[in-house]
This record gives sequence, C-alpha cells and structure tokens, in this order.
Amino acid sequence: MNSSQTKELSRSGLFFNRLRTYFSKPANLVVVTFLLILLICIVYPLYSVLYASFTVGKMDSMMYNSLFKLNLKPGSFTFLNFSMMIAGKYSQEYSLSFFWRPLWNSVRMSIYSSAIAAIVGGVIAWLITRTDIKCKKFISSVFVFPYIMPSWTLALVWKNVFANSKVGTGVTGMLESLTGICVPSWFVYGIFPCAIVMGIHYAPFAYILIGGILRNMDANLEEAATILKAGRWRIIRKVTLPIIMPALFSTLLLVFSSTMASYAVPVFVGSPGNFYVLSTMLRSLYSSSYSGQSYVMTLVLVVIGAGMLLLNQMVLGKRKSFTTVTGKSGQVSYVKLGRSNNVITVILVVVLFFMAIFPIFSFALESLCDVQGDYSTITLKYWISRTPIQGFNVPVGEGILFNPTIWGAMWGSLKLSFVVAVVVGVSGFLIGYGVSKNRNSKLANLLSNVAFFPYLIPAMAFGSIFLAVTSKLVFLRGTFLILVIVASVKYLPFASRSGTSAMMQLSGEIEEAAIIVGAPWHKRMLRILFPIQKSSFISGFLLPFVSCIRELSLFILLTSSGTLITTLLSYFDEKNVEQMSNGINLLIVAIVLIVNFTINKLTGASIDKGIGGN
Amino acid sequence: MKKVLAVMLVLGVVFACFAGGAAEAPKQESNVQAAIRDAQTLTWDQLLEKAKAEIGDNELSIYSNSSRLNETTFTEKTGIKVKADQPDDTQVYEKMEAEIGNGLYGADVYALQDSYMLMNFAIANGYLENYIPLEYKGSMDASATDPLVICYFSRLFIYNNGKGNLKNLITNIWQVTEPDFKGIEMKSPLLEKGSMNFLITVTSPEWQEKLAKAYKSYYGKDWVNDGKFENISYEWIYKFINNCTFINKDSTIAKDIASGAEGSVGFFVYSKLRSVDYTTLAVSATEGVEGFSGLVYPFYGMVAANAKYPYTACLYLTYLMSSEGYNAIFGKDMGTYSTNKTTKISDNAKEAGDRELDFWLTTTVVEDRDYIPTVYAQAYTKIAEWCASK
Repeated sequence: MNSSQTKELSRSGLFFNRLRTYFSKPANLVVVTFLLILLICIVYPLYSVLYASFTVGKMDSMMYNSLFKLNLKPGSFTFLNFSMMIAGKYSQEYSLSFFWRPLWNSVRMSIYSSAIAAIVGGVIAWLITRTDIKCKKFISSVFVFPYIMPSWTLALVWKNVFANSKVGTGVTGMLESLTGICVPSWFVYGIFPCAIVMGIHYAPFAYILIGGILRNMDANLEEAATILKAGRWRIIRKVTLPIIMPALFSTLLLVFSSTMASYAVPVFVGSPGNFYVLSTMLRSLYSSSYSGQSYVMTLVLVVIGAGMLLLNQMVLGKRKSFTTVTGKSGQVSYVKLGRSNNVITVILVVVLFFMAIFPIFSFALESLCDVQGDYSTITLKYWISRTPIQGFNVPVGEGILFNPTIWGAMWGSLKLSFVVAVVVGVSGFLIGYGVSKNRNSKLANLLSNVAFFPYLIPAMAFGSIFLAVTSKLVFLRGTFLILVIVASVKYLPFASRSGTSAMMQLSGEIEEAAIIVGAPWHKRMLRILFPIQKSSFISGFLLPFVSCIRELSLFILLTSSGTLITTLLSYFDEKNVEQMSNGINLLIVAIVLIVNFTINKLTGASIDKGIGGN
Repeated sequence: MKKVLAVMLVLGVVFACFAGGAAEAPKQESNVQAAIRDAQTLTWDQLLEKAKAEIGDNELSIYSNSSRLNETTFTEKTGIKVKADQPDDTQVYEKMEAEIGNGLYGADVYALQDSYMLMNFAIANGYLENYIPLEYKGSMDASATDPLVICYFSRLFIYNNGKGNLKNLITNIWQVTEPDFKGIEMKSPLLEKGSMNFLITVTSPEWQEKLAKAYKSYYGKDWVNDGKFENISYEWIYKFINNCTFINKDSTIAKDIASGAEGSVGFFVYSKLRSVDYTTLAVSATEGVEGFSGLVYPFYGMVAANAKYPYTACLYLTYLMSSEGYNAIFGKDMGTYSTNKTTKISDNAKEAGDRELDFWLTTTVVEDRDYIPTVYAQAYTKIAEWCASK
C-alpha cells in the first residue's frame, strides 16, 4: 500500500471513528434521529404552504385572469397572492380589510390573552406552590377545567351570560335575567371577550408549566435571600422570576402562538362585534375562490411564530444556566399569607367557580332541557333514553349513556389521545434530554426550533396539508395512523418545550454521578432523570392527551363525523341538537378528569397534584 | 457534469418534440358515463336490479352539504346500505379535487349547493357526471335537469313578530338598508356561498331594474348614480351588508330571532324554523315585499366521475326525485321545494305558512348560474372587501 492510499485510509478511518464517537453518546443519537424524523414530517407541510402561497390553484387562476385580464394556468408561479393580500394590488381597502387590520387585531388579542394567561396562571401557581393558601387541593384540581373544555364552549357560555336586550337581536342572557344588568356591547362582542376567554382557556396551561418549575425549585435560593434580609417583592423579582424565566417565556410564546391561530373564539364573540382576526379571515379566504391568499396568511402566522421563537432564543441565550434542581435537598418553605389568607382564598374560589365550575354546570343544565333555555322542561331522556330520540331532523339515536355512536366516537378519541400522548410524551422527554445535553450545538438548536414549528401552523391548515399528503400516500387515507401522525407532530411542541425546560433545570452532576457508578443510559433515564422531574414530564404526557381529546379543527378534514367525539360534538352542534352537544362536552370533561384521577392513583402524579395540591 | 447536462438537454428537446407533435387521442366513454347512459333508459325496478347486482353488501357513499341525507329510508326501501358524509361547502370541493382529481375513490354521489363552483369547478374539470331519471324527466323543467336539481332551498327575511303583535314589518326591500334595521343577522357571504351567490345575482340587469322600481316607490324619486357605486344594486348591497351582523350558523340566527326582541330581523334558511318556536316569527315574503324578499337556490345531485357503484348512485338520485323519497328526506318541513312538479309541499309546511315553489320563483331572487360566472371575479372581490371592512 502506498502513502496516498494510507492517507485515504487514515482520513476515512478518522471520519468513521469520529462518527462512532459522536453517536456513542445517547444524547447525540437522539438529536440526529429526531431531527431526521421531524424534517420529514414538518418540511413537507411547510413546503406545501410555501408552494401554495406562490402558485395559483384552479379557482385562483380563474379569478385573477378575470380580474386582471391575465392568462395564468393553474400551478403557475405568481406573486399575486401576496400583492392582493398585502400590497393592495386590487385596492388598499381590500388589503386593509383582509390583512392589515385583522393582523393588528390578532396581535393585540394575543398579547392581552397571553398576559392574562401568564398573570392568572403564574399567580395561582405561585400561591399553590409557595404560600400556605387554603383549599389547595380544590384550587389545583379545578383550575385545569377551562383548558380541558374546547375554547369555543367557553365563548358560548360568555355569550349566554352577558348577551342582553340592548345588544344585537336583544336575546336576554343570564346576567340580565337574574339582575337586570345590561353590559355594553364591547363587553359582549369584540376584543375584550376574546382576550378574556382565551386568557381563561390558557391560564391552566401557564399554571401547569410555571407551577411545575416552582414545585421543583430549590427553596434554599429564596431562603438565602431572606437570610440576607431581602424583602418579599425583591426576592420574587431577583430570585424567583429569573429562575422561572424559561417556563414563563415558553408560556407567553405558546399562548401567543395559540391565540394568533385561534378561530372558534373570535368567531363566536368577535365577529358579531365586527372584530376580525387573521384566523377568521383565513377561514373566509379558505372557503372562497381565493384559497391561495389563505396560504399567504398561513405563512404570515408561521413567520410571526418563528419570530416569537427567535425572540425566545435571544432572551434565553443571555442566561447560561437555569439550573434549579441539583443534588442538594429541596425543602420548600411557604410564604405565610396571614390575615389575608381567608380573603384571598375566598376570592380565588369564587373566581374559579365562574371560570371552571359554572361552564360545566351550564353544559349539564342545557343537556337536560327538552326546550333550549326553558328550565321547566328538564328531562333525563337525552342521557338515559334506550330508544332513539325523536323530534330532530337528523338521527340522534339513544340517550348519551346508551348511544353506541357516541361511545364508539369516544373510544376512537380515547385511543387516539392515548397513543398520541405516549408518542409525544416520550419524544418530548428524549428531545429535552438531547437538547439540554447539547446546549450550544447547532444541531440541538435546530432540533429545538424544528420541534416547535408545527405549533405555528394553524390546526385547520395543518389538517388540510395532510389531506393533500394522503392523496399521494393512499394507504394513509381515512386511517387511524394518519390521525396519530398529524396529532403527534402538531402536539410535539408542548412536550418538547416542557421536556426541554425540565431538563435544563437538572444539573449535569446528577447524571454524572450515575455514570461514575456505571449506570447504563436507560437506567439513568428511567430511574434518575425521569423521576426527579416527573411532574413536568407527566405534564408532557397529559397536555397532548387533553389537547387531542378536545381537538376538532385538526381532524375535521381527515375523518368522518362519527369517528371522534369532537367531530360528533360539532355535528350535533351544527344540527342544533344542543342537548347532545352539551352532554358530550360534559362527557369529555368527565373522561379527562377520570384519566387524571387514574394516573394519580397509578403513578402519584397528575396535572394538578404535580403542582402542589395536597 | 457538463456531459450529464448536455444529455438531459437533448432528451428534453426530443421529449418536447414528441409531446408537442403528438395528436390528442379521442376521449373514450368511461365506465361511469356508460352506466349513466344506460341507467337513463331504465325504470326503477330495472335500475334496482342492476344496482343490487353491482353493490352487493357494500355501502353507497354520499358526500352532501345537507345533513338530511344522513337517514335510513332509502336503505329500508331497497336494502342497500348508505354512508353519508357531510363536508361543508368548501370541504366538499376540496375532497372532490383531492380524491377524484387524483383518481381516488371517495364517494359515488355528490349532493351539493353553489352553482358557480359546481359549473366552473366540478363539471368544468370533469369531476362529476349528470344523470336524469327517466321516470321524472317529464315532470321537471328542462332547466332543472342538466345539471340535475333535486330541490330548491329558500333563504328569507324573517322577523320576530312578538307573537302576532307586529305585521308587515318589511314592505320594501330598501327598508333593510335603513338605520332602523341595523343589526340584521345573517351568515357572512364570505362563509356562506349561497349568500354570496345571492348578492352577485342581485347585480344583474334584471334585479337592477326591480331595485330601481322599489327605490322610486320607497323614496319617491328616481335613483341617481352619483359615481360612488357602479350601479343601483351595488349601493343596495353595500348598505345592506353594513346593516348586518354576521353570525356563523343559521340555527343560531333562528334561535336569536325567535327569542330576541320584537322587530329583530334575520336573513336565514327558512327550513331552520323547524328547530325553534316559530310562533314568534313572521316571513316577510308571505306578507308582500316590493323588490324581492329573499333568495331560492338549487340543491344539485350528481354522480362522481369515478363512482364505484354508478347504477346505485343513479338509483339513489332517482329515489330523491321521487315523491316518496323526497317527502321522507326533505319534504316534512318548510323551506324546501322539489323540482318534480308532482311533489307538493307538506301539510306541516303549509300550516307554517309556506307556499309552493312557483310562489318563491316569482317573489325571490333565483340563483342565476348563467349570469354569475360573467361577473364573478369583480363582484365577489368587491363584496368580499365590503364584508371584511365592516
């Protein structure tokens, strides 16, 4: 063998050695594997959005050719979608009405609702984990209810309570019926109710994320500050807040992105007040002959989300470590609320009653009324009838508890949510591990960002993109597998953020100690890392479960109305069989609570218990 | 690398020559077209026999905008199983393109609205085929046979009459543009294709003339074009839209008006009255409105170009056109009108104040599938802009 061949062998040998060394570390293997999977599952949808934004479909080409005397063929490359939507090619008013004003409205609504969610959720998380407030078990159990319910049902409850004779068609809501008070129209419809409802809906989400961090935070940090005679507010500002910064920012980021893409709430309590946001305009354009412009809007939502992501990176990048869990003890000392304890407890319980219990009570009541709104017609038939219920123009079947269609759909949803929760929870845990162990590597940053991308694409658009995928991959059409794939990719951001935040707070010395004593990787993960941050990781399983079981927009194009409980709920709601839709709503809440209870009994962890309700 | 590029270029040129020079092969009749052509010569019994032989124990798949096709009477009569899916106005055409456009089976029958999309998208792209039932061809107007119109639905101005206290609230169509009528509830034309087609049809010369007469009658003077609007119809549309509150469901509108204040007005499908206590509601059309009092629009029934069971699809459409089938599915309540002239509205509908189709065809705007495409892009974009800028 001559010297050049020897050099070649050395180079290739060196390369393979380096590769082997790189992949011998589990964290690196995790990062590369998930990056490849996610690039396939996410790049195609993004490419589809880009492609559709820069080309014209069949209807688009007919419209543009007629409007501008062109000769575009379907599939042609064009900037017309952008110039119509953003640059006022047809008219300035068209761009303002369809894009600029709704964009501004969306941004405002998202800022207000994410602030409300973070403040309400964060304050309650702090009260539960850091103070001696009473009724912790009740508060922590009940506070997650608004997140379990579909957001549009909360909007309906708002409308039912506050609509009055001086607004709209003069339907009398509950507040006017009971007290005679008529709130002004901006209170019933517009940005105010949208922000409040979305804030309430996502406050439990903030509570779960921030509370998980507070629960595991080393109290020695705050005690050290107390010993040095720092005041309570100074401790919160200088010690507590900086430590929970990752969770707080993740919360703001995720709630902002969710609200930007939210459709149902603005439709119910925004549009009647002529308050339009990007998602309502997106839906309108999607339904229209200008579907290409709807993809431009989708792209804008994705870009805004990407901007939020970048902002998050910039802020987190200033801090090297957010370690709060180390090998030392973590004895929590509670702030004593003293005489204000009872007052704060009562206020919180009353607020929670209206936020969380009253909507459920409303669903239950509506499911019992034979004539909607007439409480003298209470009947149990919509729950317990064993013969098909008559009087509607669509087949309703038996009462909810004996209705095979409803239970079939519920089983479908449970199966899907469980599988998605496991896939997403495990993936989030592993991604969190991989990212935290490779904190400064480009691949890890890329993985962290790519894992978040599906969150930026509106659910309806996401479902539509995968409908197109199934037209190419025929074996996936109408199957359970496509629903699992779509939901797993869509809900991965929850788990990956949660996993990453949790892992970033674990000091490296914990795993290093285990490596020194020779513990293999899987034992380190299952016996040490996972149990320490169990409450945050369980959130990574439960959040996708809850989100999946109440999701509608994502699945509506990919499956028929009887497959999932939410598509069935939507079907009954559309057909004005509100007794059944309200009953199914109640059933969804009940099932999630039962699952939460079961997990609590089996593992000791739950959405609420992991935060401190005991 | 240069060699590879050169070879690709040459191959591309050669391919282009063949592609450009190849003569178009004559289109052959598909299996579905042949089956439809045959079915159009068969009686019900003959068609039933062929359908049963074709479908066996499988299900006939239907996509429809209307929930009413989700029922069991056809199965009870023929023994043939049916699966009805209900995508919305947009999804049904998306599914059509995604499935039929890619040669994938999805449904055998499409029952849907929106003349513009049907003619200019579905039929123009060859996604749907027409079928005319032999037994009912003679009892239908020719205009309702190609494409096949199963029935008409009506969308009307309906108001809360305070259980009979209020009468003749709307007597002239220009009233609904006045400040007194602010807050009329209707589905946004951006989401409801029927409403958009209605507004576009109103821009036609025929309705411009009727609006001009109604204007003179109401305001006591001729309408003058001050340049703000292209014609009188656009002015009416602009003012009407600005008087409306957009609600996302007809059933919600019906409920709101039925339980709302006396004098509150909605523009929604008449058939939604079946879901509420309609003793508090009055239909303006039946009291007489100068100009027009609402809209009627067709509900079409077509066979998918790649239907798996074309004979069964034709049998199903024949059932929908029969009095028995129509009454079982559509005819129980108000607001629907069969194009089979031998099928009359039900007693239930008459009791609620409904009239036969002839009445509605002369008092409302009829969705004009020939006029709409001629102005669609301009009218749609203008109206959409006004809806979005409210």
